[in-house]
Amino acid sequence: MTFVFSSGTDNWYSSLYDYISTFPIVTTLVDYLTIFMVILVLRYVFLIIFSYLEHLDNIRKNELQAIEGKTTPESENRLPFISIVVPAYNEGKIIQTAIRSLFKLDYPHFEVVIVDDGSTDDTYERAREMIKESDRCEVTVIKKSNAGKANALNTGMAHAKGSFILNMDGDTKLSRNTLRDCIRHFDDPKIGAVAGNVKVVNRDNMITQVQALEYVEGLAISRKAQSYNRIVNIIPGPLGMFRKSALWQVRGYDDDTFAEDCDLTLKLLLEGWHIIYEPMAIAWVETPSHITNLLKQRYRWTRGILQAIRKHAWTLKQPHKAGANAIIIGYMLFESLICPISNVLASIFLVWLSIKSGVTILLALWWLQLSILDVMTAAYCVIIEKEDTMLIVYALIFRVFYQLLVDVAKILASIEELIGTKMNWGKLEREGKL
Amino acid sequence: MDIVSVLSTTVLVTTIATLVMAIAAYFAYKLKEWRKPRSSGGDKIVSNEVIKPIFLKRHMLVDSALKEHDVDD
Repeated sequence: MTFVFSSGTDNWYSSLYDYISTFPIVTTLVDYLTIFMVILVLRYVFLIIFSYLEHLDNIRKNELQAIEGKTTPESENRLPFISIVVPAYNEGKIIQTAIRSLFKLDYPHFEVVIVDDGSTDDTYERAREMIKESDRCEVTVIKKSNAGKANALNTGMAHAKGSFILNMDGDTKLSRNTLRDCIRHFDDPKIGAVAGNVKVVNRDNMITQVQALEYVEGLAISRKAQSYNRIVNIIPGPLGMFRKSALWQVRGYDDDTFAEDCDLTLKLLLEGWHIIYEPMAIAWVETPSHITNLLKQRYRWTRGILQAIRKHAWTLKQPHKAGANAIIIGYMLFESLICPISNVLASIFLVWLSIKSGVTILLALWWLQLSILDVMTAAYCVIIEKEDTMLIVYALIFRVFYQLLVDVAKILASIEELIGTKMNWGKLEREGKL
Repeated sequence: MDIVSVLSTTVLVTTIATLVMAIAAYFAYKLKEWRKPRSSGGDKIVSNEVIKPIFLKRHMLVDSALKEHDVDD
């Protein structure tokens, strides 16, 4: 075997094809990857079409609201009371910033319920200090023994007085218009929840910048496309508003998965509630700035999502609902398992083929076609979301570095979930940059 | 080496480096988790335990849960 780093400009394709033909399994893999690439491109195309339709719909709604939405004292009084539930565990560094952002919310009637889930730092004391600062709304601080986020949210919701509940994280800062932008969707009685827009606040190194791009793309394309069909499949922990009756119908959060937000969303969708996305309601969050913390977060998310899928898989047997449920669960499975496996498999296979055959251009072409797709998608999202244009540059390393890194973690987490390895919550350390 | 070869080699090296880094970082994280004291703080082990559903029984909070919660208005 000759090992040559070569672009193989002289008829490399036919020599590589001859080489590949000698291994039946390799030809099968090539066929699989070709199909995967076609599916991936189709996925992008469909998501972009639906997300653009949703984008147009949002523009139309906003224009309509601008014409009709002049506020009067009567119209303000008619707005429903909203309860904001903030679970917090060791969020001492940033809990006050998060609560102060709530005092600035542009909405006439709301309360804040903070649940300290047995923190070992000064979260409770710092949260209590905020009671005196509030002149806009009633603030309730509940201290309880540690029992997990789901339990803390349920405790907060049980104390909530409003007919609509906004759940957020203790490390989140909300945009001023959040409540108004979310509540308007509940005029439609079929809407059970509204998912908010999550943006990265600590964009200070490559890891966080790429995550910022990932969030922008995920929300501007996937979430909007899902919203157009009213089947948003994850109401993010940092910002989600719920109809109280819908929450009560599904008995709130369960604590048997590590992705309580995904689990709750699935429960609502499977009960027939519609869930949409509101891009104007923004939650600013800190994301992991180190690789190990990032992997820790994705490890938990992946296992949590798989736990939620497994938990609700039985609904596929429900008469009359199996088709719709299969679409919801199948899409989640594709995103959380099939995509990462295919991506990592393609990379390992192409690395092996490059080394074995000496023709390295194939891997470069694979990267190039995906990166062209990524850059175009990033440009579309950045323009639509009016985001920092520098984020487009990070699309070049998105596929070859970031996506691969995260996908390996997802696969290893999936293997651990399959064999039932014990895990813990894995609380991320905050830097207090909110 | 022409530009295509440089690009090809860069992508190849980066891909291998990322795969190695991903696996190494993952095992570093697992090792860190394994070394951490099991009884610490609020980390709650759920997997493989008998799951007790805790949920929204609003009336429950009035009689039992409120006793253990220190509520400040």
